[in-house]
Amino acid sequence: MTALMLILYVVVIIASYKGSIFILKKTELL
Amino acid sequence: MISNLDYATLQQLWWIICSIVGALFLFLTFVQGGQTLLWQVAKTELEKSLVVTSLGRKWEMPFTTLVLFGGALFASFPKFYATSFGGAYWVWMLILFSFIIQAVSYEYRKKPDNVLGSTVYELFLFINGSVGVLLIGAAVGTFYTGSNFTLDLYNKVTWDYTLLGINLRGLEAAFSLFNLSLGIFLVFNARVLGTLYLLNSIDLSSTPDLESRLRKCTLRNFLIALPFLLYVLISILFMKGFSVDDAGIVSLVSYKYLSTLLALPHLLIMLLAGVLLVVYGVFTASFKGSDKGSDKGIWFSGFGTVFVGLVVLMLPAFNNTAFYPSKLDLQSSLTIYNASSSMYTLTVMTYVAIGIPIVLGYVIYVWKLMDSKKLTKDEVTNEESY
Amino acid sequence: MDIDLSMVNWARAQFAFTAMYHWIFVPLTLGLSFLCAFFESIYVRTGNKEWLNLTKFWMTLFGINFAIGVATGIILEFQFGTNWSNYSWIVGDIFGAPLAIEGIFAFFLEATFFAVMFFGWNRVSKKFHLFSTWMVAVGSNLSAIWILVANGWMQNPVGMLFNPETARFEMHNFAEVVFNPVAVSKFVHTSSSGFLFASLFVLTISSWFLIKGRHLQMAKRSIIVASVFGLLASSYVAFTGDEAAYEVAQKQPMKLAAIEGLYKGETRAPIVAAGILNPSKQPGDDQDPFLVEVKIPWALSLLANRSLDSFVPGIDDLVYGNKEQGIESVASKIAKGKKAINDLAEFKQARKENNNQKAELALAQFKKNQDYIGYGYLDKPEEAVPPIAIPYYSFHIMVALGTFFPLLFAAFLFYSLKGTIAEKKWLLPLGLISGLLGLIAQESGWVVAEVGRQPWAIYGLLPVKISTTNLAAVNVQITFFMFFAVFTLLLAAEIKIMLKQISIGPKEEL
Repeated sequence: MTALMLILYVVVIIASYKGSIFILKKTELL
Repeated sequence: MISNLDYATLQQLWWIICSIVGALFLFLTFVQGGQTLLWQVAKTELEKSLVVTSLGRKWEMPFTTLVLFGGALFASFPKFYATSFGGAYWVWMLILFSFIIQAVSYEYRKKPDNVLGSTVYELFLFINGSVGVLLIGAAVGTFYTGSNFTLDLYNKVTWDYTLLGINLRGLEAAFSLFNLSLGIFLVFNARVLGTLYLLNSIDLSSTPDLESRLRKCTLRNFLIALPFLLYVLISILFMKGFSVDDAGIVSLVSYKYLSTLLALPHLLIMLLAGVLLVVYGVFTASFKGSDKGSDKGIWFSGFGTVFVGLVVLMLPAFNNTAFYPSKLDLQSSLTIYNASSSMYTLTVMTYVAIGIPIVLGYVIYVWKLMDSKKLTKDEVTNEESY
Repeated sequence: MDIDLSMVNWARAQFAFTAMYHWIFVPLTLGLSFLCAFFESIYVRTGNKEWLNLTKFWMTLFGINFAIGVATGIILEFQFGTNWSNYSWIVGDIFGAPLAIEGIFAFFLEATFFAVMFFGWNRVSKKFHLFSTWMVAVGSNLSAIWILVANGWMQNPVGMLFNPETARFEMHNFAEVVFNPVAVSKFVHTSSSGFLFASLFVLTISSWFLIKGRHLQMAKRSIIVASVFGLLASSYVAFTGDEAAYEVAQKQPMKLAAIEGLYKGETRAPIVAAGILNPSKQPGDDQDPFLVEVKIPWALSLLANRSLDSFVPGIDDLVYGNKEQGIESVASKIAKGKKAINDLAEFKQARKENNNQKAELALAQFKKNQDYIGYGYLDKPEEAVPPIAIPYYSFHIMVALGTFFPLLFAAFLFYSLKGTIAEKKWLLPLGLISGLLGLIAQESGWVVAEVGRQPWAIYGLLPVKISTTNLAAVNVQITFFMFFAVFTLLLAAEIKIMLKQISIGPKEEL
């Protein structure tokens, strides 16, 4: 569980950045 | 190799590490020194901006080092941390308040709608540089002069110094000429370092008045600091010290610190080297016209301060001396052997300490990067500045 | 022993006050540092100056907040020593290490790269500047790890042994301390709650700009990044919150009972989704704990123990004991604890007299009951019960808000994708107040953690009331009001400065 939580922590950060770029592109706001 | 170190070696090693952190803090008090010089050397808004912005890029360094000093002492000598901070409550509270008000002042000083106005924030900086440094010096002085506490069987500290019915809890340190002198010396030494740092980091070509004021201040503040330093050093040579015998019994012994300097000559050499380096730094800065080194004084005086600081912090702890002595009850005095963490904890922390050179490495790297060009008039008028 | 309860309470008030003040600013630093890293990364990626202006705007607010975060933090580092010197001595061998490590690694990382982030725009390369911004984010969140290892150890003390010779706890296993499951779940939950709060902060200010019809593009861009971060973070906060609460149920059952208002334990225990506590309810009496409540059947057994048929103990079980469930009564623990205190005193006396035989006997007796020594300082069994109302309401407020936030972010994202976010007259005001709601959730979380662990400074081992410094209460009263005055003044300044910078707004390319 410890390992899972720590991995997901990093995933949240990276996914947020990538996800933002994706949606900014979609809304033509990038 | 670390796991093979014995307990006594670990305890000595950690006092050395704490002393290094403390000595580096003293070097970094060039920020505090610059703060008390602000109103004296900067007469125009531009000059103020140059001084405050230059200091502002480094203000977090001494602050963070002080926090680290507290944390390192907590981790390696928790009995000292508990006894000193809990005992000398008021000394530490006042020191902390002076740093709380400093922390926001750089950021808030020139911001619109800052409620207090820039003068009040500049006053906060002044208080931090004067009262804060003075009290830290007085607190360090008590390593030599002793404090008024007793520890019971469970190491619970009772602090007893009442004046007019009020328990002063550490403020009485300021009544000792030795402690006061050490504090005053540190304030003026910080000002010397402050002028040297500003001479090093600011492009003074467009503000020749600022430059000449800074150079005058270097020498002047050094000359003021000197008698206090000499008083402290001479006192150390002649004063009684709190010696611990093999059975752990503490007693006052004549010329204790002198005998330590003679028993550990590398400390004596470091002390002399430190003083000479400080003097040399002041010399190169005060007399313009020398083409090389007139803005490099900070490095000589800075390293000199580190050496002097190391000796001042290590001298009361080695050669069987109690580094946090109690005048009230000699046997409550703390030594590095009776106040430390367990061998396990010191061992763990020693592994952690391997990271310290790495931290120093990137701090130095970034310092060089940021200070590679001097701060110019254009930068403080056109860009982010304090 | 002589305990000055007035001093204890003032010391508690001072620590709570200074910690809660510090916690206004820290979560914003934790999250906004990453948001700034995202914004600047997008700038470097696109080369578009508009993104640079956007980044610098949020960084200005970051800097204003960071300064007061630092100012309110230094006192906490030293307050353990000044006001809790007994605590510092008794547990310092374990507790001091994470604080020192926080200083060595995290604070210097933050401090050094902060200077580059703010002043290095024209002094270092684009890449190095971006790297520095990421380092500030990493450094700030790294500090969180260590302080939460420390707090986690207070909640679930592991990896140490009590040394009767020195009458203090000594560290035995550093890995156990660092990987304490309570510490890990706390860290990820707390840090991500900072991400969540910072996203709400950005949402609040951006909503204001949209309402006012200013800086529209910048606001829409900020909303998208903050909503993505906020949505992912708030989901993760819920996930880790569940894990943290599970750990509470396992390691601090009394705290769990308090946040649930559970007096009589049961199997297949229901959870109180919402309810009003009966203010006159006392442990052991027959009153209904609630005036009114809405329950979800079986949910507490499932969430607390992850087993439907598990027994969840209530306050009465934990205080008065429950033979069937193998729960010892507090009265029994107190008796054992008092014996342990006496045996320890005899041991210390024997050592002082150099009577080794007497010492060995006392030590053997002490070891039988040493785990209960903390209980020996309680005067009556009911003292083992923390305040109920404060943790209960704080917890429920936090969870309610925590349920609302992901929905809010989802809505903002939905309308952003549709391109209609600027016209949503009902959504934007919700966005506007969301920052304040986030702050309430933040503070509530810490209140649950710290009020819920009372009367313990170290759970089950060291009560708060014997942890203080031997100091007259008047000293603490004075410093309390000094802090109150200074911090409030600085908070007022911070808010005014921020509002002004918001009204000035980001630089716009013409």
